[in-house]
Amino acid sequence: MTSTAPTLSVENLQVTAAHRSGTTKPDQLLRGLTFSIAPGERVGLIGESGSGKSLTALAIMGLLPDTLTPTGSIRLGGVDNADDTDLLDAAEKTLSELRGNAMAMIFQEPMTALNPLMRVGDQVAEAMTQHRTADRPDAAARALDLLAQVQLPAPAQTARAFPHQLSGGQRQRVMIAMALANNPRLLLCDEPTTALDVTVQAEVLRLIGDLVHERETSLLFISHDIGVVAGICDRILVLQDGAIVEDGPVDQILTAAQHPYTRSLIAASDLTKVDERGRLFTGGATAPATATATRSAPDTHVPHHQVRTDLDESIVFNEVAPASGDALIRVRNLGRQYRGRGGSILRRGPAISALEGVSFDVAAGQRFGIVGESGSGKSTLMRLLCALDTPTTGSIQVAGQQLANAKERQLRHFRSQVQIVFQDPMGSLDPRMRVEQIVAEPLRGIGRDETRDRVLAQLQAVGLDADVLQRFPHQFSGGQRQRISIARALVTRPSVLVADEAVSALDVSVRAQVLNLLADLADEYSFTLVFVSHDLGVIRHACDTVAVLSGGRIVEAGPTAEVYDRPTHPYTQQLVAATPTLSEIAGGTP
Amino acid sequence: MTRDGQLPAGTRRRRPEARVRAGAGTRSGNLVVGSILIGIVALAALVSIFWTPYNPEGVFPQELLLPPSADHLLGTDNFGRDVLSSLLRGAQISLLVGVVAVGIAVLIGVPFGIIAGMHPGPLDRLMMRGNDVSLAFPALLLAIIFGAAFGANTLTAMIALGIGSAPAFALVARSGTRQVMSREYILAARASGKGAWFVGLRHVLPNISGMLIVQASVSFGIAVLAEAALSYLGLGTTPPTPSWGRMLQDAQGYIYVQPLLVLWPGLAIAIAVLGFNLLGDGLRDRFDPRMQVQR
Amino acid sequence: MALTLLRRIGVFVATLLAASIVTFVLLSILPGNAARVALGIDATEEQVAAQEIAMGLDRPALERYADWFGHLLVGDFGTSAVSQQEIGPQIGDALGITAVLVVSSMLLAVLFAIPMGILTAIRQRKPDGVILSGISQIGVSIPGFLAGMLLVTLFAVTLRWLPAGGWSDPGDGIWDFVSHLILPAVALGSVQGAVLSRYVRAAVLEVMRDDFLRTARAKGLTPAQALLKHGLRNAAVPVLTVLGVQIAALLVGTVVIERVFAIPGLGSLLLDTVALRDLPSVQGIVMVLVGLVLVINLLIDIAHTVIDPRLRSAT
Repeated sequence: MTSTAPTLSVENLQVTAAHRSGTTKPDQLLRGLTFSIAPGERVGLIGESGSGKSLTALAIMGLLPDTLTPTGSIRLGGVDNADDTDLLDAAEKTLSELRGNAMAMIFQEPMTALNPLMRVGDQVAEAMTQHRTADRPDAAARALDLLAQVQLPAPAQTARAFPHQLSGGQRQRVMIAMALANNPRLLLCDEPTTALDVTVQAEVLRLIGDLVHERETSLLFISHDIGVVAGICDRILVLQDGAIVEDGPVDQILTAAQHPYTRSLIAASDLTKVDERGRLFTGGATAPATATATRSAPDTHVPHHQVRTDLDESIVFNEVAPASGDALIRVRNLGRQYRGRGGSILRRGPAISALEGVSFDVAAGQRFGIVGESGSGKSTLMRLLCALDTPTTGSIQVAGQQLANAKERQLRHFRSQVQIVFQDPMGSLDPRMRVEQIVAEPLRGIGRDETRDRVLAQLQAVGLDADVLQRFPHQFSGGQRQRISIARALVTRPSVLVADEAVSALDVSVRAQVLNLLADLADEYSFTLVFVSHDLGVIRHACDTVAVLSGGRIVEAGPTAEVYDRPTHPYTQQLVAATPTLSEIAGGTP
Repeated sequence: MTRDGQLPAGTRRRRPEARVRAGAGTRSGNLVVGSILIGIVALAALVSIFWTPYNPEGVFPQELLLPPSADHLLGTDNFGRDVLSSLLRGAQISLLVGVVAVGIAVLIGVPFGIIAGMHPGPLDRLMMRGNDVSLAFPALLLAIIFGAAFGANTLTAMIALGIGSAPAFALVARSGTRQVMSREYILAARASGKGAWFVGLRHVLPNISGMLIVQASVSFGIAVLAEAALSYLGLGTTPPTPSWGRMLQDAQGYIYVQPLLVLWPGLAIAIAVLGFNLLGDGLRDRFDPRMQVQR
Repeated sequence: MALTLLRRIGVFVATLLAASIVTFVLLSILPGNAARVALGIDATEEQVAAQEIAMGLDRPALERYADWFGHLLVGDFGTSAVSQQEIGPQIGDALGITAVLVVSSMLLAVLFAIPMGILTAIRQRKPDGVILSGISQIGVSIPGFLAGMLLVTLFAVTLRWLPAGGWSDPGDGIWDFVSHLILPAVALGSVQGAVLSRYVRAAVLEVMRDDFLRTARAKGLTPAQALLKHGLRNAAVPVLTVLGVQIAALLVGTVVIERVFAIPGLGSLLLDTVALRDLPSVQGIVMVLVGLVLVINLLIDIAHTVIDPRLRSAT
């Protein structure tokens, strides 16, 4: 099965966008990419947003929009009718015969990638009937086979299901089944696990790795996450602004990258390496780590490592002993149930329990992390802590204010003491408001001049200057918008800052900068940080204590280093195992 | 993250033909052409307040049914009235009805829609049911019913059309409000202690104004069409005030004698409505690509 | 599935009820005295009083409503305030004619809109697509009755191929029937078709941007295959929704067209009774029109649930 000809050979691939009216030069989106993939080789393509990585895959598949013009040559080897044919010169008919047959692709968004009106089994079978590799009854049988191979439970029933009846992870498995149905020579994966939960991601990655290995398929795996790529690929290509800046084996890239961009990317991705001030590396610095990556809680309060062993147990996690002062946040037996969708005028929807029996404290000055996947209840908990929702049972006290059943009038002071930084830099700023108005929103009861001064001072504290005041959010990058968000959150000098997935939507290098900024501001203003995230790596870096949330309950909590190094609860173990760190991969620890 | 790669449809690759860049071109083209057409109508209405070539209200037995000539550019009708003058004056009514009807529809529909969008629950469900009922009463039918119940004239027509167009605005306002409410900046506003009024006025309204303007353009066109239909049926503007619809009704009686009389008011109606539709399309491409409600 | 169906029918009944209340309020309560309105300004007080009792207007509103609705259910559409005769039979006759007109217009509209909409969508950026799109834009801007009059001017007045108006039953001769049906059906159908085609176009454009079409192409389907096998069925979903709204517009358009062509259908009946201010008759006819719209919408809703599995409740 091995042949010496590469499966894929790309030469000087350039993609240009026809110029929009107003610009003089056409945009060059891809600038002369040259690389090849050997049979059975697994190559990763890494880049940040806008680097052109998706475009590369689409160009290979011939699925670029007609407003983009590709030049260069792309050859697919080892296939009978496509040897030495330049894919860029091929007619649409030839390409249609190759797609889904000799080469296949998996996309990022499982929720929208399948036809909602067609049964899942039929969609998988279509891959085979389209290329006449099987006739209809055979294709249906083979589809069941494939669904079993991608480890979907009850393949016969799943085959008759519609996409909306499956979860994201299940849908992605269906996509994999569809892609591998005709045993392609080359599999392209464009961020296939980015939209999935961390534990699901680990399973799907393992699945892809196994299947590709079994069939000796060549793999081009695209991602922004080096950790993910490093775990599954032999070789890595680094893309910056449409050009490949480095191409080498995984080990070499991780430990001894040549190009400065690669080095800064690796440094920023590694949340375990910090400088002597405890800050992440953002700018390509290669100074060795001189401090441990995790921080500790303030001396006055020492958290214990606690685990919930059975459902009925009610533990108060991170309980603050009265001797060390008052807990800034005190939550006891918190529960939140509500009616789900599916209600009518006469009947309400089914009861859903988002949180149950949650009890914990947070001491002043702590950096407290709450980690959980989708459905764990962390968003609900975040809202309850910020008085954006009322609990069904239990009590919450934050910054001296009882939140359950409090009226908005009573929360006036509370509002200035507890502020939030949200996940989506696009959605957390009103696109119709100017920056000055946005940042000034939490302030009340002070005059126009003083408001302006404070807003300006706060913007400067996050690294922006006075010209931004009158601009609109769409004029800024994601990282800058997040800074504006932070400025808004800190303008009232709150004692608690809640960060809700505040860096999850940012590019790796920007993420490092924003995390460092948060750390600087936390030191300067001495606020208590509550960081809610699904990313254990981020929490590990930013927080001294972590609580792990699953199914609406805290299952484990304690000092970050301990919970991370010695997870006790099975769910925590699963979570830790699914979150690889670069140092582990580079060092060879599985 | 940018969304790379849209799906092309039916075109072969690598053919750098000089294609009409109609994508961006038609968008601003729609806006421009639409605005021009509306501008013409508005100008006609404005000018006719002060001056028309001849008096459009009156009877001139000497000049019945004349074909177009240098004196009467578009000819005269069965009362001897100059068609051009009647057209100019008729623009007033059409625009007036449009403005009032859309105004009423906005004032009723938008607050309903925003409130329903901000408070999911029984109130919202009730509104959706109300919307289902209003499906069965399109604006024109409502105007006919009002004509029967309260007497048919321009005022009842305007009010009926306004009420009939309100559900479309309520629907658009509600859907836009729900989109806005799901955004994090609303949570941020609430976390800053802002109440429902503030959120509704300072955050929701500015962000849905785009889709509301598009709907206003569409509804304006519908109102002009409906007024024409009502006047044609004798249920709208009463004589002697000129109205394009009634001109059509008169013209129908003389279709064997002077068929051109049907053309002129028809053209006027088509120009006005086309203008609003193009404007709406152009604005929609700027603001919100989702489908608007045509009521 | 059955549960969803029952729910839909329940909603239909509730909406019908609500619509009947609206109609009743608009035509029996708000205008004040239906008797006075029908008799006109010259009537004496005694005449009005007598008429009131004859029409049962002295009873409380709720009772009158219940009475009226109850009669509706058994097919009694009330008594005309002007002719003192039952309007039911008249409605029946007129309904048949209007139904034929509505169905043929709708068929024409759909037959026109689907290919037109799809074409203008896939040729969106090409010159022919732009031109076709422009044509449908113009079609949208013309009122149905104007299209009717233009067609009459061309085919009846100038060419004298077809009659300018009137109606002929199918029983009286097929050609007569068809020749009287063509112009009004084409007038209404083309205008409604233009409106519908714009929605089809928008729906197809939306679907062309959907991810699952890209997946289909990645599987090896040609663009045409992807659109046909995957896209169109999905595009049908929003188009069906719009069709429901357009039905009401089509019915009202029929009312006006019947005046243009002097067709003795429900629309003409409605307009005549409106001119006479015969409120009880108007009420009955409006109820029939509203009922028709709601029934057709119910059928469309059911079609929706058949096509889109996401709408079936997962109980």
